[in-house]
Amino acid sequence: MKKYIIFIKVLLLTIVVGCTEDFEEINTPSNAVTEVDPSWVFNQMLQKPVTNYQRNINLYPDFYAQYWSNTVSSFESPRYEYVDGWIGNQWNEFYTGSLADYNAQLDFYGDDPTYTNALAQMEIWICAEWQRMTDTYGDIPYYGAGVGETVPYNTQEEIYYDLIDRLTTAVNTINEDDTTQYVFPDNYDLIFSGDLSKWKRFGNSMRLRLAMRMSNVDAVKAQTEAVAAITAGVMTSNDDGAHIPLWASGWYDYLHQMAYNWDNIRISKTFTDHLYNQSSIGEDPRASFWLTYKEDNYTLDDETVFTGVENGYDLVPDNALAGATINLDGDYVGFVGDGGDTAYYMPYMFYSEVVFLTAEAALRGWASGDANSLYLEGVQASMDYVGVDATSAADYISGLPTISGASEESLKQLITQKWIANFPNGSESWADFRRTDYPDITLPIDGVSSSASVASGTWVKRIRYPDNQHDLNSESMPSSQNTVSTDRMDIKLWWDTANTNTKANGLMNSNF
Amino acid sequence: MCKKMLNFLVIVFLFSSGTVLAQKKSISGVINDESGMPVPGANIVLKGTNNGVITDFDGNYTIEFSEEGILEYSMLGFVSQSIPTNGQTVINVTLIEDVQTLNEVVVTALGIKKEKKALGYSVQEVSGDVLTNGSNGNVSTALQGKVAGVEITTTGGVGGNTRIELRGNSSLTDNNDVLWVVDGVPFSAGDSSDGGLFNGTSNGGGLLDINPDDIESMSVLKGGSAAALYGSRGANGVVVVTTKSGKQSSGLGISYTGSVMVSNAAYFLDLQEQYGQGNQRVYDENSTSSWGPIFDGSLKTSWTGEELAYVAEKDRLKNFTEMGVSSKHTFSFTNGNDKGSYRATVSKEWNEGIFKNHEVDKLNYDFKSSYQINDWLNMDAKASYIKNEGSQRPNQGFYSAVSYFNAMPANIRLVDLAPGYDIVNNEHIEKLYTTANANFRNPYFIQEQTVNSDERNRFFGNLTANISFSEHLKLRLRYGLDNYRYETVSGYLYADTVNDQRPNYNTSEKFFSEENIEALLSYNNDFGEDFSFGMSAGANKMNNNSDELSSSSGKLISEDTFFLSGAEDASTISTTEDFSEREIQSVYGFVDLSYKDYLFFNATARNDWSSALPADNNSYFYPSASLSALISEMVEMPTWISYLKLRGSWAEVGKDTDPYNTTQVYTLGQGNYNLTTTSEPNNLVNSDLKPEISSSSEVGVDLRLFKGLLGFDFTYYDEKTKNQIAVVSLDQSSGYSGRYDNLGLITNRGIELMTTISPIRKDKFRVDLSLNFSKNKGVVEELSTSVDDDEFYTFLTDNDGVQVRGTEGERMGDIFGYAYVRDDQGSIVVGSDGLPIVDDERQVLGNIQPDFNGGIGLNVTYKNFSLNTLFAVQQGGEIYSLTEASATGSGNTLKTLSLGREAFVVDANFEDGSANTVLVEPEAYWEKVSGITEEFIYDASYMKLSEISIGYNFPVSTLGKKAQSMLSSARISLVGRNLFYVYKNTPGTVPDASSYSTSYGAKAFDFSPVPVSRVVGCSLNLKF
Repeated sequence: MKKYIIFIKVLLLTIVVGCTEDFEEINTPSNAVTEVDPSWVFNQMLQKPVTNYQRNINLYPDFYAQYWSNTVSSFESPRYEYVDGWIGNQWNEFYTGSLADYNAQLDFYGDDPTYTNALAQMEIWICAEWQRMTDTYGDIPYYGAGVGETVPYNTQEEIYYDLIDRLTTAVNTINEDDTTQYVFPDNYDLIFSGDLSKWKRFGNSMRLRLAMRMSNVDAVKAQTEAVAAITAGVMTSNDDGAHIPLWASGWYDYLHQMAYNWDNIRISKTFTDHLYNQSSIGEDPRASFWLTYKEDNYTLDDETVFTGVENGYDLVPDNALAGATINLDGDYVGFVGDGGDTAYYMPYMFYSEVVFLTAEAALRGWASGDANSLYLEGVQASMDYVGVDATSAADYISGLPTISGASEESLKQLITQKWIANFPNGSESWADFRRTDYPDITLPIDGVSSSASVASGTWVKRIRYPDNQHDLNSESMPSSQNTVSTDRMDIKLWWDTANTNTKANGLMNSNF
Repeated sequence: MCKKMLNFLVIVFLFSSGTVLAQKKSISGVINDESGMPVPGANIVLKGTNNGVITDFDGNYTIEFSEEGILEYSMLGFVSQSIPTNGQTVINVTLIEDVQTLNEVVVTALGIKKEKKALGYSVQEVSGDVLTNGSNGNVSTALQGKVAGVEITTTGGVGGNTRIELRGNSSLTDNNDVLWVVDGVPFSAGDSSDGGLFNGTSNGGGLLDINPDDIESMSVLKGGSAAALYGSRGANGVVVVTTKSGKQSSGLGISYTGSVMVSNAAYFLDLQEQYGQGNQRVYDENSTSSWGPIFDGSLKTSWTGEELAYVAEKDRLKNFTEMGVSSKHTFSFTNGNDKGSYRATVSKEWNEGIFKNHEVDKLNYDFKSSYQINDWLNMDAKASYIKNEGSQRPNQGFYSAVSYFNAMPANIRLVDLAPGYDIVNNEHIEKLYTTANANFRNPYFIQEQTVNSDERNRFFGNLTANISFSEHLKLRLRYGLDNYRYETVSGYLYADTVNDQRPNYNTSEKFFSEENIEALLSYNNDFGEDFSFGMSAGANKMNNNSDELSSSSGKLISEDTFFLSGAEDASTISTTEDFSEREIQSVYGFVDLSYKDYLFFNATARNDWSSALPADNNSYFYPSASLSALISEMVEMPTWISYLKLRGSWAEVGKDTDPYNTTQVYTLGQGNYNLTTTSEPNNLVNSDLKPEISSSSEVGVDLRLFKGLLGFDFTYYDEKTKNQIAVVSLDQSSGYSGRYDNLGLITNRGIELMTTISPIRKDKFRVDLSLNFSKNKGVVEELSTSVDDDEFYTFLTDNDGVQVRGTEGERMGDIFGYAYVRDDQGSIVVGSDGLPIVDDERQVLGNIQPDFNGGIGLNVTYKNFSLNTLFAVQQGGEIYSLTEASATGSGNTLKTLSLGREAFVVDANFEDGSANTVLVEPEAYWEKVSGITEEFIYDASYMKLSEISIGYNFPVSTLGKKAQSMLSSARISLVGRNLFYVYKNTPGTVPDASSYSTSYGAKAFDFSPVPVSRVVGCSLNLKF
């Protein structure tokens, strides 16, 4: 019997050889790394706004800025209904994507002086994305977010103040002359190709955008920061504009898909109306660069002018597809790309926007310069970017009304032109509309949906928090908005001070 | 001639042993039962050897041997007999029916055969014959309805995926995979796949490699106690498959089984056939919905430009599908003598689906042998080669042909859509009835444009040495290998307008290998008259690894360059690697004690060390104990009680997690502009993970009355699973959508009742009725983790936000969706637009767990005829018809006729309580309603005839001398599967086999991309 027991022991030892020493090696994947080069996440952070464009931007800000309108009856967002599976993704993609990636970079390289420039570039970008987030929702989790813990919500005001500080610091941190710095490899800086001066100007321009957004709620801070940003050096030409390139061999749900391939959208009639009612010469010369009629089964009686589709139908009329749509052969660089690797450019911040921001600062008497000439310069910058020849642009501009004095009328004209120039940057234009209530964006033609959390006869002011927050973090949410029924989409954000329906004779009484 | 060849082969096979065959003796005879009827299939084995034969259909046998010995005659349900050969040449035996079935033997964990009476837990065995009754080549679906407590869900049609749940879902993460063990070696069921809500294909994976015709028996080990010896991998239950061996050979040892089956799509969503294309009752040839005028047969300009009669195009989907023909041929060759036996089989199977070119083909080659080398060493060897090829598996979800047909205006004609494309400049251009849109495509085009094929080449086998040190002490050593290569090709052959990166091509190759090295030492002895004792100890080392390489082309140059290097831009060709490795080391042991052959105690213990868990927590121990008492032997019982056994058991088993969940790593990818990309993983890893633990107890009664006329086998079980390793949803602003954590306590309590009634047991007429009943209630008792106190766990969220959840304290599997807002009187509330208001907050609208499942089997034998039927039943449970919801907005479902097609006022109140007065267009109403989940919830109860077969045994004796000398039995059967539903509630579709995926949450959805088919056919069994 004894020898059997010895035998068993030997046997067991033979089978369970070496025991569990190599378990750690077995349980570590051989096709992965534990440290991440900044470029590997940076290029993705820069492309985040185009990775889920339709659901996050087109179905909401683009509709609410009335650049586009919907041609599919079952889509609910045009009448202000919230769909979690659509824009709910933006929350997830920002926090678990860009922000988590950025925080991990701070962990890896925050203490390494070689990476200060790279981290400052990422910081400028993440601040810009933070603004897009808070402008979508209002108060959001900010301090300490994205590092694995649940944190409280912060007010939009706190966030704005902090973002301005962070942008200022980041711009000041960038040292173009330090040759010991890590440099993003070729191509990885998709927006400014490693040009640190452009990053600084973009950072300052973002600071200007943030400052001007506070114009109606915190004029003192707005003025201080706007002036400081302009002094520090904002974008100076179209070459400085922030545009996200879309790879010709990649797949995106960018505008060409919805507006051409899938026929989910057409240009908004509000927008096409404004392509004819601004300048005394009539049609905006940018129109034919941007728009065309798609040859399909429907045509309009008069196709000599571009006509769009009304926003907010419950049942979209059959001939909605007859409306004007994206021009993919129109030489507009945003829709045709560079003819090489890049097929489209999604505007993140036009140079013209910066000129308009400066014009508004001048109009308010905060910045030096002539508001009227700056506003016309903004139009010219847009014409140049779109590719309009000098003569046509000059003709159009000469037919525009001049602005003078800090009046609602002037601001309306300025913002309306800014809105046209900002096409198709729906996120920014929807924010401008909510702040200034210009241009004249219409209510849904079939009324606000009874299933929307927006009072009938009023405009949508924000997006509600995603289900993820209601389900898992309602205790952190602002107490007045911590249930699905109180988290309404007609609640004004901090910087939004007026209801659009107080507009009388086309003018507000809230912007000065 | 045949016999000579056979002998030759036997000589070849036994060559190495040097056996002298010239001294062969033989005995033949007939085995009858007490009534004088021949007993076919009885075993005759020369004691102490592997030499055995079985009787043919007429009860005849002949056994050859070289040395005299004792012949053992046995047959399930009869008392065994032993008769010394003593130089006789003819032995006729009368077997006596064993009504108490005291000696029934079943295969238990680790392949150990035990007498059923000694088991303290429930094991249900399914014989190969029962399994193949329906001539179903898919081993998992063939089990449906045959075992109590087993729920099988299928998707994807031929070769599609199946979900097997033993005693309910115990996992939050769908980690419910049952362990399949074939001849003692784990058999990977890997590479199964499910489609998603939009796209993807379903693939049954490795399980399809098992050939039901090769199966001798399957033991389903449902509970923890039965499976505890398999350790972590057996935590969800084990199916132990024993394949046929050479021992059963009779006659020439050659047999053939063949079948031809045809399947036809049979169950479709109920569609309306009264209104056609257009909006607001106005015809529009470009509309994507059926809100047009009523069909009147008038001539209207169609989307093709032709003037066509405006009528409904009926049965589009039915006519789009094809009849699927399947055929299967299995040849086997078995033989043996007193030293050894072998069986060689080759089986070839072709299965066509109901969609064009959908086919799954299979080749099984199996060789199994056993040889007694000397008086202390017996060697078993098994080697199988399996090739499984699938092609054109149908697309799932919204981008499937079924979804496109359901979304299509009712007048669009198939003839106009076919063949799906126009050839323009040598390119296939999709024929579209409306402007291009991912939701309105031409199903013919999709069928031609999408390409997928897969192939798995598998080697599976083992070598086992059984060493007898003495009569009492035995050692088993086994090396098992499961190894395969799996390749896939998929892509889009033609360009389309939905995605500008088509055509494209993807391919992948995966190598999988699992090794198991095992040793088991057993000691058995009797002590005195009353006690017997057994003890075993063993160890196992398992190493499982797979390497996969997948490549995609990006956009191809043209339709003609459907290969990797055909990319338009070489820089878009991308490749990714995927690895997975896991090792589990185990030691185990068990003890069996019995007293007077009526009281049995069994205890097992196992410890596993898994590489997938953190070093501090990677060891886990599982004990089990069980007791069985044969009351009918212990005390005097009334005569009408033939058998009464009570049993009880308790076990604790643990489970590890997937590899790589304990360290944070970054995988690199290639993104746009060919830039290297990576990102923070969505889920936080957790280095403190502990193994999952489930403890279960069960008690049971096995009762047989009136000499077996009535039999009951009842089990109550209670299973608790805690420390589940799951991804806990996090507040996303933490930067992570989830974290791996141990959480929760899930209980599954239920009963299983198997009833057998055999009212007629005459010689030539026998009726057996079997009823399987099982009821399980799975409850999420707790969800708290170390950090959070979550109220519910979300299994699945569909694109409209419908969710399947497990809420703390509630039954698992609640369907959460959107409901009407109702006022205090219960009336639907409408807004100022006259349309119902949808409650923004999701509500519980049902639960996917049925009240009970059952199977009713009726088997009748009359002379040479036999009839086997199997009804499957589900009572209760709810299902959400996403199929119907998504076709309602476009006016295609039957439902959309219910309020007429003129503008109407919805029977509802305004928010202020006054009656609704606003006229709404039907299309505005139904579009709104299509988003209200509540409207599409159905009771999932059903009863269906799942299998029926009518067989006829040719009386071989009437076939003439020549035939008799070759043929020992011949049987022909007519078979039908899924012939009809006795009742169901879903709108035309079926509540089982109705989902796009086999994931737990998907059970809540009636959204099948492959219509369920009726299958009929015939099969032929010949034994020579």
